[in-house]
Amino acid sequence: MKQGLKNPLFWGLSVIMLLNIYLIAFYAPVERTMGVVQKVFYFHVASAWVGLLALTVVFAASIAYLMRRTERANNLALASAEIGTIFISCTLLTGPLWAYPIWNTWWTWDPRLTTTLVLWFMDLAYIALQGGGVSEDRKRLSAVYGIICFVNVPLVFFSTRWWRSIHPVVITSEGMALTPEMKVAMFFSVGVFSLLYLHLLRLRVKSLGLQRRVQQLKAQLFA
Amino acid sequence: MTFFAAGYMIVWAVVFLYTVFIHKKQTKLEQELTLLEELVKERAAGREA
Repeated sequence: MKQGLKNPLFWGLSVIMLLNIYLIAFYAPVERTMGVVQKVFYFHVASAWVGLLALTVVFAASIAYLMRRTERANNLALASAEIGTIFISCTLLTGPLWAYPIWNTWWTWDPRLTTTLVLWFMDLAYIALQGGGVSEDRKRLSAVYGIICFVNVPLVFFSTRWWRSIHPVVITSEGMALTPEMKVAMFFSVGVFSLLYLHLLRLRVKSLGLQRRVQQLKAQLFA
Repeated sequence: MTFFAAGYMIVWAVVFLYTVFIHKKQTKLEQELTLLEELVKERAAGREA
């Protein structure tokens, strides 16, 4: 596959990202009560979705690693954890941008916000566990930890339903509290961010595979 | 509007920086791999000689 600017995937993804910006900025209407700041929602929700998806992939890849002990499963889990951290960071940074004009505070220890912050710390801890060493014991420990981290994913998602929360709930039992144009923009945004996640995941897994090959050659040459 | 623009810039800056990080790491690894593969070939050739 061609690299960087020569890769048609790169250009395809760039075009649909521009389309995403158009849909958010011009197609989706301005929310009546909150105004333009509500549009932060489109990439806040998409980032959160990708963050949770990434941790789900870490969970699945960790199980695969414990069952088969393949390097690829470990690389997939680590790559997904890294990218998950990136997108959860985006979620935690964009949330306050909406919260300050609406709630008049940058942060509150609301269940949704708190569980997301805990998820972010757990994700960072996973990356720290994998860093520096490549022993089988460390990888096994990381896989077990990756499975445990997944417990926080449903906690984050259902926190607004299980506990008293002031975080907005868009998806309810009565449907979605969005106009049709807002739904289109939101689902498109989630789709674009998911494709971006898959693209970054592919790149990072390849990079980790190369790293392993380099380590093998070094061991062969300097043993 | 400022918060909306700031949100956009944050998301794309973070994603862009991570993409640059992966690209730089990949380039460095590919260079290292090329060098190591050449060394392995030279050593194998040396042994045959």
